Amino acid sequence: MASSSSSLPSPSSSSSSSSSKKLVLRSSDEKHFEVDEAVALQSEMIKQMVEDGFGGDVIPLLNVSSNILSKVIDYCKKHVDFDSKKKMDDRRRWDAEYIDVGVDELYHLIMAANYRNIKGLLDLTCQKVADTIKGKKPKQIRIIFNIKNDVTPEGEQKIRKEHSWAFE
Amino acid sequence: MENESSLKKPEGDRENFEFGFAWHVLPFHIWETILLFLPISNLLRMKSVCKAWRSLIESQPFIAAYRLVSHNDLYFVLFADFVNRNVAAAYNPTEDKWVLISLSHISSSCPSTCCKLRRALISDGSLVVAEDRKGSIVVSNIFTRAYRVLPPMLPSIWPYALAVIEGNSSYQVVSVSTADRVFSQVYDSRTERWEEKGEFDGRFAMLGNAAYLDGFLFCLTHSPDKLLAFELERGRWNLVDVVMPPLVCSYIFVHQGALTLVGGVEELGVLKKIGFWELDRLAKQWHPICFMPDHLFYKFGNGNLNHFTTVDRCGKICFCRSMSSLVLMYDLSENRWWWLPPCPLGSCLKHEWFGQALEPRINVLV
Repeated sequence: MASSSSSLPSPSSSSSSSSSKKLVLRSSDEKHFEVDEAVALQSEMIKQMVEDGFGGDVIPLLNVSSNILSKVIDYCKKHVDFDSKKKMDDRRRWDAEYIDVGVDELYHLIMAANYRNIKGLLDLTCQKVADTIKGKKPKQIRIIFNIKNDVTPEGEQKIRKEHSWAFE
Repeated sequence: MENESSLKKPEGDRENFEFGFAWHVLPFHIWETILLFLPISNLLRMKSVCKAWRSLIESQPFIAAYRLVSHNDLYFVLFADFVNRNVAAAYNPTEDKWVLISLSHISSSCPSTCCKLRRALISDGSLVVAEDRKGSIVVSNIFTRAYRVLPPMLPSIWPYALAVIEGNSSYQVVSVSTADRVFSQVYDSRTERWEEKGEFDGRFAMLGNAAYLDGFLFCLTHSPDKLLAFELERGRWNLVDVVMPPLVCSYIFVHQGALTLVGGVEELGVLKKIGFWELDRLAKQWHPICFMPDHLFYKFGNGNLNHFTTVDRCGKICFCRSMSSLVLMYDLSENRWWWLPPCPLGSCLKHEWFGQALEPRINVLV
């Protein structure tokens, strides 16, 4: 089992939080991450577990690998910070930089945000996918996301005719 | 990720696997969240990706949820060809691009040309109120191709549509007649009829445009130049106690919660500049905000400007003049001016004025 401290993202929150309660999260590849409770509670799933009186020392996250978990923790830490400071511009800038990732990593982040139920991160990742879709043709979308075309040529023609301005 | 590694990679199609396969198993509710973020033109296009997306986009829960997400999507529908092509030219400031939107749905049920639109009158949100060739008032969402012909207005002398106010699930159209006094009637989409609502004992040659703010419809009057406020709920008209600056081609709109005035300043009968004023209701004064920069004013006016028209929405204002295809846009929040690319309908002699701005919605209100 790998040690936790080396894979922890560098602490960015204020010093006062170091005295608060800690939780340990375990990734699918058995790495441990010690985080402030406030950071972990950004995840509705973990919040629910804690509220339901989850007694264990370590919260296992079977579907999230260590590299994605570390990235997700990055997000949660930063947003605990943001929630207390409420600087919208800073948050937007940081989010934009954070989400500048490849399609593959984006997919894993979405799945992690969905599985751990972190609404902010889910919205951010979904918005990023929407930005990728913008300006593309249906045919390109099917290729990028491997979606089977089950629309008949007549059906496609009908949609095109109804909304021809959107296809210009 | 666990389920991904347990799935077999397709032979010899590694790139496709990495880009496509995992996305294929994305839970459907996540696709729903993703599609909610798309601006309307992209969303409508995505209806032809697959049957599942199409039925999702057309479903009532999706339509209801889509309305709650802000898309900052805006179209300035400035020109139209009502006679030959039956299309309107709409400019999207985000994409800096024009699209042609068909208006044929409005007359498709009627084979003769009488039901074609003659001119657009007013707009709000996603709705445009227009007049067809028979003189009927038509409310339409030109993006979803939904429309409704309103019943005739209550009898009054030369009534005309002043404003439409779009709510979450309904809309109201305010119409006025200004012959010997201001007489107003309101059409409510919930009752589907016109109702007499308020009058004002004052004589004006005509009313200018109107802007809706906090339950009041503020309205410019001409000859004399005043500001009227119509309380929509109670049907009450009042004169606003403020002196209007001496402007020509004046136009009001709401920007960041304040009533804003745009107009031209004349000197010795010649238009010298175009500016913006904000209403300070406590001080009962209009404070100047900014003016159109000189070099843009000269290009726009071409040396002989005597009239111009303004269209606004969401802090963006466009300036047009008759017999010219030049359109100037100003973003008041960003303090940015730019010229629009040429309109796809061709020269100004080939098209008519539409002059409305719309925030497209996919829910059907009409």
